[in-house]
Amino acid sequence: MEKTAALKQIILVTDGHSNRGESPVEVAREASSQGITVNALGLLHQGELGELGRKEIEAIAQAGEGVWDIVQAEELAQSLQMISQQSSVQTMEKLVNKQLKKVLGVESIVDIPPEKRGKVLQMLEEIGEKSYLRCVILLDCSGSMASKLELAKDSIVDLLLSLQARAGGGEIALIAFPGGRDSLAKVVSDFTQQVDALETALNSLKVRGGTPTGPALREALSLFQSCLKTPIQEESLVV
Amino acid sequence: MADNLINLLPGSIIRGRWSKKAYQVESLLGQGGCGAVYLVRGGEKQEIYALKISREQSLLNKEYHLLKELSIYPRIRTLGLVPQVYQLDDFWNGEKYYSYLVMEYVQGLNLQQLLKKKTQFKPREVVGIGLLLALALERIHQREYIYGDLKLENLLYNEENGQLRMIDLGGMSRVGESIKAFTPLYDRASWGQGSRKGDYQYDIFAFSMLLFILTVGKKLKPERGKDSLRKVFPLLPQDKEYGPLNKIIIQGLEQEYQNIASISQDLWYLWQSPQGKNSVLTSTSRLPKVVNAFLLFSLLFLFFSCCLFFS
Repeated sequence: MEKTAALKQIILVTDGHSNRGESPVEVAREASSQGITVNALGLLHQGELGELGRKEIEAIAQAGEGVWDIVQAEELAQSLQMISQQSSVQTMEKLVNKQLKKVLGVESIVDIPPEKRGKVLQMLEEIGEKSYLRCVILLDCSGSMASKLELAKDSIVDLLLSLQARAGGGEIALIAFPGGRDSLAKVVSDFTQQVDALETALNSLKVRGGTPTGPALREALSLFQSCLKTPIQEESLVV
Repeated sequence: MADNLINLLPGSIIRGRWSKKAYQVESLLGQGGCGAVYLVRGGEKQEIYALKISREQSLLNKEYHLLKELSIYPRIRTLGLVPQVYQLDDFWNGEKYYSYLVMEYVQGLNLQQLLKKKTQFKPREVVGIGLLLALALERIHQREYIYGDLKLENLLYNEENGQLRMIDLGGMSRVGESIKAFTPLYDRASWGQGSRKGDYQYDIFAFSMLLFILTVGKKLKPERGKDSLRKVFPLLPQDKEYGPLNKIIIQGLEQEYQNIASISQDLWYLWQSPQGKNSVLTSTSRLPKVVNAFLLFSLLFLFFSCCLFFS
């Protein structure tokens, strides 16, 4: 049980619904089938996200088997951390449910009486805490993000601080969409543990254009595929 | 999280899957990212309780066990520092599965609401609040937990009898683990003063920042710059009566205290000192009654234990 495994997360940070490229919901589904959890955060700033935006965020997170939320831009720092945290917990629970079936003959954790559940949940939290976490942030850089970009940049650096505090540690990669004049999505920073490297990458960002969410997710999948470290081995998790 | 949203109308019934006990919803007390708290009526005598609902069962489970662990301590019980917890159960809301916690319903204003009303707390009140909060933190640290999400909104304070109650203990972490939930203002990493790893100092910083806000009378925006913390020290009131308290707060923020007990000791000394006692004349706090009450309880307890031991 001391084996460290890699938790793979994508966190989408956006203030609107996608309007270019393939459907983000389909790419999220694909990601999930590859063991990557897709979470989504909708940003508000003196305005509305809109029904379309809200529905899309929920759909992306559901297809990606992740967590979603809609928050004020000022709360982004805590929300990013909470979403990453909750996503890890959810991933661990799902993995363990499979083991529980074999060992205890129950379908899932909730079939264990609440008082006895504590030990399993505690153990899950510990395993999650000791796992290495790889997180890709998809940052919306469309025109409407202009007023929120500074807050977003700061919150992303802050998430790296949170990941560093974990017993298992973690790293962040950053993809901006749109990526620039010639690309729909661009990898601004590969996976890194260095705060200054991330800050430099963030400082190079500019807002422009539309919202190609699907292509951004596609870019994230490639990033994970090109990563050399091994994915979570389910068989190595012993309850 | 948005997928935690639950909307229970007054009159709806929550029936526990395991206990089969039923509770009737009276009203919504509060809604947060992790779930909602409802005022409910239930049990044989149809009493009032606070019922906390969430899909994040690890949070609720932690809170349940921690509240049970803390209520073992006599002083935590007699001072009512944490709410009583009665039951942990699940229920199926038609389409979604939730866990819930049945707790004592505690009324009152939290420190944030009081701060708005009062604009500033007197030194003796701050010391009194600090002493009670430090006691709770001491016990939490003894169980090897870090509170993590200490903030004004999580502390109910009764100005009449000086009673302090901590609500919302779901965000705790074990010592050595990363902080699970935080608020930037009280988070030392947001001020560039250390990591977000859970150690006792993390709580001491948050504790000191809380006392700082009560003393200064307003909340601040943290910045990660090297000197951003020192820049706010001059905001502390410069009147003579705040002097010793300011010193304790600054020391706490600079993380110079080894543990909660030592900051508690300094606060206690201040409370007992002639200067501390004199400021009673300017303060309307009636906290001494609560503090004296627990001293009395401790003495009585000791007396009876001795009687039993020798009988």
